[in-house]
Amino acid sequence: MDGFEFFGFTLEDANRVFAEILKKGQFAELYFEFTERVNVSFEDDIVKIAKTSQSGGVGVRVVEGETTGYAYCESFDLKSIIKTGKFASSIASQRNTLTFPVNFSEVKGLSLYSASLILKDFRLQERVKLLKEITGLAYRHSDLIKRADASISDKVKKIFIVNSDGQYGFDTRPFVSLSLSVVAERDGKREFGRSGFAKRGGYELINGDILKNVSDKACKKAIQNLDAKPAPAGVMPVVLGAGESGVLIHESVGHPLEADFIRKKSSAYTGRVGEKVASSLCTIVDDGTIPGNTGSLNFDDELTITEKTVLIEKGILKTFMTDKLNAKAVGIPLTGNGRRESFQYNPIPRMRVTYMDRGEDNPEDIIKSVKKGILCLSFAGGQVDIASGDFVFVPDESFFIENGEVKYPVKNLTLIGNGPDVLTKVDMVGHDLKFSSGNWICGKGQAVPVGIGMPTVRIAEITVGGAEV
Amino acid sequence: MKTKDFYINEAYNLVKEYRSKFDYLKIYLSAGQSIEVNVLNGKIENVSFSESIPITIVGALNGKTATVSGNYLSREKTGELINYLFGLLEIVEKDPYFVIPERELIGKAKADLDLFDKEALFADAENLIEKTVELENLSLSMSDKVKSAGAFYSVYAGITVFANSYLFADGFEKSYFGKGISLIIEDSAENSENKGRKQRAGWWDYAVKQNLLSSDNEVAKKAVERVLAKKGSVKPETGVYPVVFENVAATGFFSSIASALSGTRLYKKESFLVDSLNKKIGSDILTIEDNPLLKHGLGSRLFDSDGVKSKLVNLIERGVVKNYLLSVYSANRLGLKTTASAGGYSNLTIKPGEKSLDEIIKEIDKGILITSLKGQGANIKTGDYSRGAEGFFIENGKIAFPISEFTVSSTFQHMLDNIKEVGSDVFKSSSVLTPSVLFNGITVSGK
Repeated sequence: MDGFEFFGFTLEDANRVFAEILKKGQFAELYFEFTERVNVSFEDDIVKIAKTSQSGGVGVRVVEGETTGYAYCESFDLKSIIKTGKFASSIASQRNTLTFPVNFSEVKGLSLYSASLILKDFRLQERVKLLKEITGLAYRHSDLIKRADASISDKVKKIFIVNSDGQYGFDTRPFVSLSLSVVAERDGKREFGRSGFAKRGGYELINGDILKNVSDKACKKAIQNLDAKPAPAGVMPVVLGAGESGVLIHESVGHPLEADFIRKKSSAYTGRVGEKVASSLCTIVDDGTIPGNTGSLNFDDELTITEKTVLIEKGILKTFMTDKLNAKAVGIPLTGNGRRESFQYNPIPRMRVTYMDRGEDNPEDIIKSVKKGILCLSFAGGQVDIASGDFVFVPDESFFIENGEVKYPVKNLTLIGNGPDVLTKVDMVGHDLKFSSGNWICGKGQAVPVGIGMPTVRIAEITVGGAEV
Repeated sequence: MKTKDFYINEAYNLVKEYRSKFDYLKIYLSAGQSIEVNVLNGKIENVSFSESIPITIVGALNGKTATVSGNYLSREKTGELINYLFGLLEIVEKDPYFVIPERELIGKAKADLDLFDKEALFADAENLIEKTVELENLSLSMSDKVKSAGAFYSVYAGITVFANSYLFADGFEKSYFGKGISLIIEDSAENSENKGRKQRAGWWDYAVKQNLLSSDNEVAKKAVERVLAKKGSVKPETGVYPVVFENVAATGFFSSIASALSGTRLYKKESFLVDSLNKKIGSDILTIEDNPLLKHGLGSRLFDSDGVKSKLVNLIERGVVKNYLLSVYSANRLGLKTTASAGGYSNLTIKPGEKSLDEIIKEIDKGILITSLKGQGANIKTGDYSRGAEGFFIENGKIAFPISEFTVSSTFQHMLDNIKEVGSDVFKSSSVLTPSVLFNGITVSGK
């Protein structure tokens, strides 16, 4: 079944909708989506939860200048779509309807992943096998592990976009995530470890190595934290491990370089292209083309083919991440960052896979260089205030470094810094760039999966928020 | 969106048709429609219309349960979804704690909470745009230093319906109105590379009825005051201080306490408050209840997601845990009775004290007032607490200067034990109704 047949909608139908709703000077776009999800969870040592869901509909967007009208319906019939479209176009100042039909041509996206729908073919037992295997691995990791819960979620999103500029395109976007949470207990003290894996693809991507890796990571975190001491408070050097520390980039400089904040002049980086905004060791990239990465897209949610966008090169600000509306308003190129959570939402500039490029330092030398500081290996998340640039990121696996040696685990800390300040304090960058394989969901009013990456880096000083003064 | 009776009837017919195939079947449907408008500098940014009818169906057979969900499109389509349950039930294993709720628990509380404003069904975009532009203009007219980062107005009307194998089917309507403004000022910081530094703050309000919303004047005034007050903020000195959480910043703390007392967290032992029933876990001045039957309450409801009739729950009385927040299932796990709390707390109500925020500050020699927090560093599993913060430094009983880029670190247990004051200033535009709170002995990490 081809995409038109699947959604029961043709390009002639699109022209009928545009003729009914579109006024002169407006841009209109129909976003068809059908999503299926399957979730199986293993808790209390039994397969406890099995869930499926199906949802879908059509989002209609009408844009006039910087104004957007948005409406959606949860069905695919022409009558509902026209009715919905009329709501969206009610923002119009113009009352003359467009009369000429649009000529369409297909946008063929990249081929970064592939998938088929899942509910036809449950294969639930296969997922159960993986869950039993990973929880078994966790229990065998150590006698200290007293509880292991795991879950696998698969999602396939089928989309069809058609717009009044004459573009249309189809994509099928798979997403699988595995998560494991364990409890370690000793002498009445409990600690927790979580780890996960996510990729664009199906559950069949999850193999034995991945199960082992996720289990080891979660168990190690929980057991380490049984011995962790309270983290110190104050300003000190921090070493960020390769991979998950990409949270720093995502929060500190990623969000403020999204073009909607630039158009609204609320970002601290507004009007600063060409200026030095970071240490010359920092090259920051947002890439939508890494095969299989959770943040990658064959084209974005507006049919712009994704690319690798260099945001900051050797400390110099190069460009911002755009969707169509903001690229046009600010007068900068399209980068393929227009994304949305679902047909219920309007696309806005969002990150894809954001990372700091590799440097030249030896990771071991970076740790050796620290007299007294903190090493952070994995993170629970982060948050930023776009205007002031203040951001936090929250480690869940950290160690105290003394005289160049990793001494003991520490816990209960948040790192806080100011984005533009912190990037000037990056003074060592490792050659070990690594991408996180975890499930990172970014929330900016809408939840979308993103990727992050980072080499080992040293920040000369940042505020460490532990409880020990 | 159709009428409440229509959806109740659909849910009733569905359970009637399919109940014989399961030991227990329940349907939870929430139909909702909304309009939201966003305005920036007098121009429309966005007008969004939505109408959505998510439906969730749980079926149980031989001690196993499975769930399907989707959009409600028709009875036939929903029937197809229900058929997926059988495939799922094949792989689920029998749960020894599974229990069908007793018939007498199921029902709709008889209370007139005045939660629905019919106006919500007839909200008109043009009218909302006009109102939003007015709010923005009013805010900008109050100071020539502030710029707009956007104003919004939103209206929601919804219907919640529950039906189950007992052929119980009922529902209730609810509406929300919200408005707010976000403002920006230019700022600079000494010894900083942050050349484009700005400060952003705003204010907003939510209510179940239009006439309960704060006036534009109150919202605008508060937003302008809050953003101007942030100018020139600095990092505080690292140290241990008395710390006041302003009411709006304290909501997250108490929401975490409620999660730590939820049955699911407790039976999984993923809470620092495991085995705390009837034990003293906090200061004498801490009393918390969860009141689903609050008139005009943002979190009010007449039944929970198990279909159990709502009632008041005394959670903490003078520092002692009196009840957990329990669903039918988690209650059974813990050998207790449901508190009609499936789906979480409703209106979490922290008993206020006598003093205003100013009076609390007046008694502090050197301390910190926190107006907002960020980050995921509140861990109710271990009780660890470390979050990013901003606010003001307090000296000699007065607000001295704005501070930012610092953290507050402690543990939930220490914080509960060291609540020294709760204010009289309850924050009402939230389902966590809390006054400002003073904690002693909190580590502040700054410069």
